[in-house]
Amino acid sequence: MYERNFAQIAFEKHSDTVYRLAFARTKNKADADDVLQEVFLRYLKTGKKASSDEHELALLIRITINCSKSLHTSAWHKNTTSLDEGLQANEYEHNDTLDAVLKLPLKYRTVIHLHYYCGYSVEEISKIIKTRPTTVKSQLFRAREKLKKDLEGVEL
Amino acid sequence: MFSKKYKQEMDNIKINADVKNGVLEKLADVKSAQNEKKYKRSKILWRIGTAVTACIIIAAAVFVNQNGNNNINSAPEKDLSASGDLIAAASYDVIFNRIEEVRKQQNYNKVEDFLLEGSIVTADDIMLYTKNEAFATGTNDSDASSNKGSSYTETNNQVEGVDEADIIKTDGKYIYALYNNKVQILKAQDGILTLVNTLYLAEYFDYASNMYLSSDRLIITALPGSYSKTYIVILDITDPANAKEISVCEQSGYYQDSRLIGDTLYLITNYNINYTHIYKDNPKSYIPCVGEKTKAEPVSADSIYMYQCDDFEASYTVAASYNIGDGKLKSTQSVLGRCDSIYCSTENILATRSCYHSDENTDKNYTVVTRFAISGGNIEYKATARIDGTLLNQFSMDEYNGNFRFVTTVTKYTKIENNKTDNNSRMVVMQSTNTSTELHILDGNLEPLGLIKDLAPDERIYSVRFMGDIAYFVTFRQTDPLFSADLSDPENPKIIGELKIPGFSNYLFPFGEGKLLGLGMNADESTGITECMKLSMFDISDPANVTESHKTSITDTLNSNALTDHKASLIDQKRGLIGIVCYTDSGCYYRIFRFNNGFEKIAEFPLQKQDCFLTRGIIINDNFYLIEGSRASSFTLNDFAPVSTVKY
Repeated sequence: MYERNFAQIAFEKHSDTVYRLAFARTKNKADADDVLQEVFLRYLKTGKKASSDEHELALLIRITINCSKSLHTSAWHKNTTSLDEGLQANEYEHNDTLDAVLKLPLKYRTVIHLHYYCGYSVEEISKIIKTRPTTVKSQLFRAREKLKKDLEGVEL
Repeated sequence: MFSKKYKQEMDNIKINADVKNGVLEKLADVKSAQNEKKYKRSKILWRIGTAVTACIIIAAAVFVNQNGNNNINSAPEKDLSASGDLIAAASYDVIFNRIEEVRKQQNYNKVEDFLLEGSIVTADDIMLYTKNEAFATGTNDSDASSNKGSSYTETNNQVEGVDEADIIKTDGKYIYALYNNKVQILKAQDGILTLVNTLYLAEYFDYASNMYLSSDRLIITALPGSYSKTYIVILDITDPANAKEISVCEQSGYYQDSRLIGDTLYLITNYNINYTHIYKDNPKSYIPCVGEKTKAEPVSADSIYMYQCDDFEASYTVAASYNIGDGKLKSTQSVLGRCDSIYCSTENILATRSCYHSDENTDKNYTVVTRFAISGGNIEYKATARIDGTLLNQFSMDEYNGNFRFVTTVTKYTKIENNKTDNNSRMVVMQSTNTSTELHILDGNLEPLGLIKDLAPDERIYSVRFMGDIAYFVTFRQTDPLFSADLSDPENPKIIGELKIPGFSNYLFPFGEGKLLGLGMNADESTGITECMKLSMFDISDPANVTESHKTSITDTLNSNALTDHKASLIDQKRGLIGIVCYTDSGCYYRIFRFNNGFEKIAEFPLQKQDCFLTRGIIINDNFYLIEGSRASSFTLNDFAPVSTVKY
């Protein structure tokens, strides 16, 4: 009674991290809300806590990425992306850096987020999203090139 | 730099609180999680739900705020006895009618007093009363906070044997810390702290306020979002890592105070009625309900005593007792009229209410005192009386040898004739104010015994401590007289000492043989403006000649919860240690002073400013534990070397 299960404790710890990755991937809060819930429900359904705190976070990130693939976001949103961008004008404080990142293709903005926000190294990212390190490196490189163009004068 | 900017901007993306709570709730039920429908559909339903809930909460708040003070214009009710004692209601209808009267009063033009024969105690009346009925009562040991012989810190209770609620409790083995709707249970073994359990209350209660710990029971008092009732959660903590719920009880009204004596928990709440929403044939709409959660029943009419006060309002003081063993309600009594302050000894509860009297010539404050006897866990209404003036806090009252003693600040407003009227054609009244201090002694039936009047004119009470036959109290305007009063003859109380020093004490704690510790503030002698916090040690070995033997000014500290909460500070008389939270310009610190023929600061711990006033320090055997909102740290007691830290 009054105790929390492993999924609730994980939620207390990592809800912000999961949410922000979901937002970076879905680009809107409504979908990020849905992904947030789905991620932790799936974690709960695994039946037990991950083997360590690092594994838990890595697992949650993987689940977030799986839940936020374009197939899983609302069809309405997928079909009306351009309209949405106008409607989202008041969802968050728009600023150049965030907008520039959200303009990047899905895979690029994912590695940018994992590297610059979550602070993971190329090695760590490759383990989490199960991609070869060279792939991660080149995705980061190309993403940075694009960002440099959009954010003239900002050091990367 | 990009990474910095990106981080900053991402940090601004926050989860909506409703979303957070919604997910937490869904995660609570493992089985339903497996039957979770397509999340898109449930998302819509849940969003509608939160919108509806928000409207209801706003509506409830609006209704509650419409309750205001009303003055009654009619003659005294016939169902009150001449002595001023209250009479139990004959039926729910009588109570309903009384509340209906409040609704009828709409204007404030005339304020008339509700004088009841013989119920205002004046100096002349004292001469006529010479009763001194002996009344068997429990001891009132003023050294309740002395930690005689205990190796761990207990709550700074006013009366020995009567435990008061707090946010930190320990039994010497485990520490229970309540913060932000969570109870952290920490094992403290030879200074090593480990977190063994966390109780999450946020999903059930809006605000978990206080705890009690008693052998194998943990009791938590809490409020739900709507604030119309108070809950008591009783848990079995024989194994602290696996707390088991014994019962949850609910009581109408907002938490006022509580006490734990042995196996009985006493809870006092103030219950406001929205008189525009009461229905005669539905007692639940205007009678307090008490009992197990979801099974609370209206209390019986004959357990409700009806009250009169100049500023009458539709509210109750609800007192109930619960057995913490089986979690069941034991007994309950209520008074129609809320209370401001509670004093509790092992034999009696006093509920007091400040009132305001107005007539042609003067306005003044007075206090209505109601006595409930508590024995074997049964609450029984006994008597009501009025005394001039207002009480500062629970320490202004005391029970000793069957008599009750009070120190009050009396404020009199004398009207000066004036013919001006304001925009509503009401007479504008000019007033001159004077204040003074009074000490009242009433017997077991709340009949007057002794009185000292007109003390310390133009000053008001800052602190009081009753210690058996002697009472110490501090008044202040510019200088602080510390008065000592000899109450050994209840019919003839006398002031025997007066020590004038700059500044004042907010709390007085007995500190061993012939010593009284004062926590308070320094003030400029000529202007009376407060300067900084001060610790004083008074030599009371001869109560007629009290001296301030030692003092220390904490020059950088302008504020501390030590000045407003008697439970906040560590007062360890046995070891001569005092621990207080100091709020300075450069930050918050927990400082420990040792008293040994003088004050010496022996430790200082920086605290986070946020919620620093919820920090507590406790001692268990040879270790000192600092409990903050989000972490607990332990140190050795002799040199305060850090031992362990737990974050939660």
